[in-house]
Parts: sequence; structure tokens; C-alpha cells
Amino acid sequence: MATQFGRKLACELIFSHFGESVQKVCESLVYRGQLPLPEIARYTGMNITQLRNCLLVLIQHNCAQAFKVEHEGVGSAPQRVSTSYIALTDNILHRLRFPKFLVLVKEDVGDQAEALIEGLLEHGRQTLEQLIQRAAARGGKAVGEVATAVKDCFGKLLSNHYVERCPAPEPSLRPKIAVEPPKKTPPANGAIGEEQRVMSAAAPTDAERFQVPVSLINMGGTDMEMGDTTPIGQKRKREALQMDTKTAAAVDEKEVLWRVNYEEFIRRLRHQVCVAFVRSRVDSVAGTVLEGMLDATRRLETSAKQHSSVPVSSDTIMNSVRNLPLGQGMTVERLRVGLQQLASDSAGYVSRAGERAGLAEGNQYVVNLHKIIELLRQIEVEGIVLQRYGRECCRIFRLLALKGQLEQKQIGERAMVPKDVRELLYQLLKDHYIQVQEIAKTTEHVASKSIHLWRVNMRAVLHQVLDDMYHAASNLSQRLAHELEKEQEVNDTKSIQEHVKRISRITTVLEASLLKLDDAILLFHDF
Amino acid sequence: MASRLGATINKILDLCRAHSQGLPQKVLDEELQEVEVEIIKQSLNFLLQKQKLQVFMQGESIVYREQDTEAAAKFKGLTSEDMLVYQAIQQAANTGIWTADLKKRTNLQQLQVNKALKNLESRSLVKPVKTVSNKNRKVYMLFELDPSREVTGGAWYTEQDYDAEFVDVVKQQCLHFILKQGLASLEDVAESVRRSGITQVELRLEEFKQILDTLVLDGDIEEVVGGAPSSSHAPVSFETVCYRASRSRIPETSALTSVPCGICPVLRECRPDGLISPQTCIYFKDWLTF
Ligand code: SF4
Repeated sequence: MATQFGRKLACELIFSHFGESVQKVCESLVYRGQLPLPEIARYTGMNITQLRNCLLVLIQHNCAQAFKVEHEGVGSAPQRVSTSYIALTDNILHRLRFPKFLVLVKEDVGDQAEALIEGLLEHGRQTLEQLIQRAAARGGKAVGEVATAVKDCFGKLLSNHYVERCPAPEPSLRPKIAVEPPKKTPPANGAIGEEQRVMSAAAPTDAERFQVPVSLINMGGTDMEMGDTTPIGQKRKREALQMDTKTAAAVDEKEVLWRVNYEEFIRRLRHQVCVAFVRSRVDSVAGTVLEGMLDATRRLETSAKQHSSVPVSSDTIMNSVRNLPLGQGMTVERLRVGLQQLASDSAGYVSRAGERAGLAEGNQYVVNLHKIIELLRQIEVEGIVLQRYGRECCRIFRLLALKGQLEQKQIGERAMVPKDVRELLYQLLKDHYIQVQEIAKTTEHVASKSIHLWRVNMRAVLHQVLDDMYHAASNLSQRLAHELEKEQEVNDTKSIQEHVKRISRITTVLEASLLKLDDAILLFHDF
Repeated sequence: MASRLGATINKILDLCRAHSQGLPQKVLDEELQEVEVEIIKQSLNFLLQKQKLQVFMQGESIVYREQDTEAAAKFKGLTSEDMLVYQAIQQAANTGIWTADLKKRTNLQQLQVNKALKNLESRSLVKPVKTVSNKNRKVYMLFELDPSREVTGGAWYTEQDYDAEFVDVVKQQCLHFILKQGLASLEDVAESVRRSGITQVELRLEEFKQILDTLVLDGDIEEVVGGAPSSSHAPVSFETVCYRASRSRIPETSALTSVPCGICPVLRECRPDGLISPQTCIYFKDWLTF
């Protein structure tokens, strides 16, 4: 769930991308949860036509989802069905990272892929036909000239899960009591929010999401091996298609809506961060081995926040590593050493798959993605404490995170700050980095007779830090908007050139900082 | 009479020497059965007055011990109250004793205690010492004693004040050694610092451990269990904890703290239309002035 400032930032993004009325609608959904149309009208004071348009924009851009709610009949009243809307806050916030998505897909698939993704991001949802038309228009060519190349490229994007079919427009949500997300398994952390509930109700199965359009299946020469990318469910579907292939292809091209699969981009960014970390913490070989493992198992991940990768044999890892630019010269021996290093490190990057189950699984390995992410978060938090409060506070923070609960006197001794310990503790307490608990020895809670135990509640800290990050990001973008606005008003003697120079520097600094800050937000919220 | 007194005095001193643990009253009585009680009394008084003899209570019985001559000179002229206070202070050893406790222990009036302390202090027999735990509270201990760690705070305290600078010097030296050495045990580090001669203060392994622990907490070094022997010392066993440069230093920058809001003291008060806002913020203004 996004934090308080996360929601605020989401609304601000909608404002700057789609204007005031869409933002109003978005705000009512973000802050009030799911709402039916009349309620949104009441909160926003807009007329229904205007409102519908705003909702369409939000849905088109995957920022909101409609769904049907079944109401049980009460008394003599019959059962009825109404439509409600919900904001997809996480998707809204993904708008911050569109530049990152483009860089990623360009590096992985190429320029044309980047252009296609760019178009999709810009329009939210499009048919294959629209994508082809856009490419043609931009290249100044006829549709017929670009169609094959675009389809080819689109096929690559699809087989890599960068794009997906749009979810059902209005899924039905059964009354809350029998909450069972119909398709995807809920995330390991348990409680699923309303947003996720609706999303999973709307989400097609993986087979449907990435089902290849008919017009691509019959295209020769694409690198799509139907054998390995077509799950059984899809085959059945295909058989059920009684339509003549040509008609089907045309319908597919004109009617099926596609969108960018954010989840895949997030997953890849997450993997990149893990690989980079291991590369710098252990060494380059270990980094490459990890990259190979993640490449080999990426498609089998069921969630963007996958706890650990699925087990994979060292042979498969070897093949995968050899496909990497840095892994071409990898020998079996070096791979073995690299794996050993990863598995024996106290950070627990990798473990043997059979170990836990006590099975002799052979040489199967898993990447403990969550451990790497947790470690990265912890390091980031420690850096923040160090920058904000200095070395002593950071030492105290680490001490408490390590030892659990301690009294002031013990902290002073162990952190070697006997004199200032009280002051340092209160600094951290004030900004919620640590907590204190009073254990009264007397019923009257006489302060001098009570024991005060200090501790770090890491979950709370991570949440707080994330909220601060959203807050800072929101401030950055507000300041940027403010600077741009101010620039239009000024009318002084300085030369135009000077103004342009200044504002472009400000823009560069603010935008770059925002993107960097978003890296940290990704780490704390999406990974 | 005078000669008998002299003989008795000598006899008592002999007995004291024969019972170096202290001469109980009972033994004295038995040994001096044929001497008149009056003479014994006079002899004891004489010896006590001359500070040649000390009297103690051991459980229920009275015990005598000879005062050596040097000590006798030391205590010459002190009143019995002074001695009472002195003995209570002596018992407190290097932890020292507080005046309120002295009063309780000796059953004397505050004034008497103060007077005795003044006497003892002026003769350099006892001294007042400030304690780290409570700066305004003085404790007394024998002049020749070094105050205990509870009183002084230990090696890191100079004059009962925490000496952060000294700690830092030692810390840097330890870090320097570990980085140079690559891998070092606690003993190696202690040895090198002692040899470096940067300090006259006697540091124990305990104190070095404390230093290394803070270096670990600072993310400068990390512990490794086992590892190769790093010096000529006893071979490093598998369980030996060694220290080396940390592979995960605490980052010196972060995305959040690189923008003004990340280190802003009023972040939590900052609102778009508030008194403090991103539009009017002076930190931003400075940051965006090139
Ligand atoms: S905008 Fe300025 S005042 Fe507000 S949090 Fe950021 S630095 Fe602080």
C-alpha cells in the first residue's frame, strides 16, 4: 500500500499529466477507496458526462479499474449489481518511472521496441493495428511497409512479457466474505488490499495475458517458438477458435487491446539491482552467475515481489550464463566457485534448493531475492541515518537493530557515547527511527523507578522512510512546477538566454534528483 | 610495679607477633592468667595510646594486633574518632565511601565525621574522589589507593570525564592496523596498539573489544570467524573471531539525503500551503542557485 504521501504524489502526477478534473476524480478514488459513479459525482461536484470522460482517461491509462459488485438482497429487496471504480495507485506511481522503462527495453530489445513501448505508455492501451499505424505515421511510411517489422518486434516484446493483453473491463467481485482471489495466488505477505483484490479479479491468467495474437502466429520467421511459449490452456483456446484464421487475425488486430506490462519492467529492474549489488559486494563472476540464474527463471516468477527464484540446476545456469555478454568465457569450474561463494556468504544470496526440504535434489539452486532486497533496504536506511544524524546516531541505530532492546546506560557504553546518549536517542526518537518502551516497576509509574527500553522497529522505520521519500519526491515535483510557472511570469532585464539557461539547469537537477529518488522508492515499495 | 608493667607490655607484643592473624581477647586472658587485671589494663592502654596496638571486633570477640612502627607514626596524634572513620574508609577499599554512609557506619555525628575527614585529609591518609556515576558526590578512600573502574569510569575517562578524543585516537590506531594487516585478531590489535606507544594508559582486552565493536557498528570493519593466522601468535583456530575491512560500508550518500528535503529539519511540518512549503522553501532556493 502506498503511504500517505505516496497517495498525494499519485494525485499530483495525475494532475500534471491529465489536468485538474481528472485529478479531482482520481483524488476521490485514491483517498476514499472504491466508489460507484454517483458517489464520485457527489464528492467532485461534476456532471456525469464530464465524470465519465475523466474515468475513461484513468482507465485508458491503467490508473483505475471498474468492477461489478454484487449486493446480497436485503429483506424483500432483490439482489442487485452495481459498478464501482477503484484507483490503481501503484500503477499511477509507475508513471514516474516511464523513462526507466524506456531505457531498459531499448537496451534489451532495441530502438524499435523502445518506440513501440513509448507509444503504448503514451496512449495507455492500444490495438496492434493502432501500434502499426503509429509506427507508420512516425516513420512517414505506408502501413504495409512497416507492418511486418512492427509485428516482429511486437512478438519479441510479447514473448518477453513486456506487453500484455488488457484485463477484463468490468470483472465481478463477489461480496467480501468469500474473498478468494480467483486466479493468482496472493502475495506471501498475507493481507491483500482492496486494490489487489480487484486487480486479481480483473487479471487474465498468465496464459491469456501473453497469448500471441493470431496474426502473429501465422507469421513465419519470428523467434517465437510456439512449443515453449504456449501453455496448454492457450492451445485449448486456439482449438476452440472456430473462426476462419484470417477473420480471427483481423479481429485480433483491431479489437484486442494491449498495454505495457509494468510488472515485468519492475521485475527486471529488481533483478538488475540485485545483480549490481552482488557484483559490487562479492565480485563480477558472482554477479554474472546471479544474472544467469535470474534470466533462466524469470518467466517462472509468479509475482513481481517474488520471494525466491524457482530452483534451477547448475547445467541450466551454465547455459544461461553463456548467453550473457559477460559470461561467454565462463567455465564449469568458475561457475561452481561462483555458486559456492554465493551460497556460503553470510548474506545468503543463494541457497541449494533441496536443503530446506531435506531432499537430495541434485544441484538445484534458488536466489533469495527477498534477502538481497532486505539487505539493500537496510543499507539505504543506515545511509540515511548517517547523513541525517551523524556517525554516533547511526552507530546507536545499528546497535539497536542488531541487539533488540537495550537500556540507555547499556547503549551509552556499547556505542561509546556515555555522555550524549540521551540527546542522541531523543533525536532518533523524534523522527520515529527508534522507539522507547517504559516498563514501570511501580504502579504509580514513577519515572525514576521505571526501566526504559529502546529499540528499532524496522518495519515502521521502512514505512516512515518510504513516506519521507514520497514526500520529498512530491516536494521536488511541486518545486519544479513552481519554477516553470514563475519563469513565465518574470519579465526583467536579464537576457532571455540567461533565463533559458537557468531554468534548464533547474529542470535538469530536479528531474535527475526525482529519478534517483524514485530508484529508492522502487526499492522500498515495489521490489 | 613499673618493671612488671614493662614485662607485661612486652609479653603482649610478643603474643601479638605470635598471632599474626590477630590476638583474641580469650587467648590474651589465658596467657596472662597470673598478671593482675589492673596491670593488663594499664599495659593495653599504654600500647593503644602509643598507637602500637590496634583493636578490632571479630564477631563477638575483641582482637588485638600490633601496629607496625611506620604505621604507628602515621597515626600518631589521631583521636579515636579519627581512627574509626579511617577504618571505615579502609574497609570501603577502592570503591570509596560516601560521607552519609560513613556517618551510618561509625555512628558518629556529621560534625565529628567532617572533623575526622579534615584531619585525615590534611595528613594525606585519605582522599576525596569524584565518581563518574554522580559528579556531585564525592567518595573517600585511602590515599594510596587507585579508584576502581566504577568510580573512574575506566580507561576511557580522564579525571572522571569521558575522553572522547583519546577514544578516537585509539580507535583510529586499531582501524589503521586492521586495514594494514588485512585480517587481525583482537589480541593482534591490542598488541600493536600497546607497542605503538600512543598511550600510557593500561588498556585491557576488554577495552579493545569495546573499540572493535564500535568499529563494526560504524561499518568500518567486520567480524569473520576463522581465517588464516595473521601473525606470529598462537595459530588461529576455526572459532577465532578476526576482523577485516568491511565489505559493506555505510553509504556516504543516499538519494533521499541528496535533496534538501531529505535532511530538512522541518520536513514533517512542510505543506504546500503551509508556513513552510516547497514553493517558498529557502533550502531549495540555495540549492537551485548556481
Ligand atoms: S521543501 Fe524545503 S522546507 Fe519543505 S521539506 Fe523540503 S527542504 Fe524542507
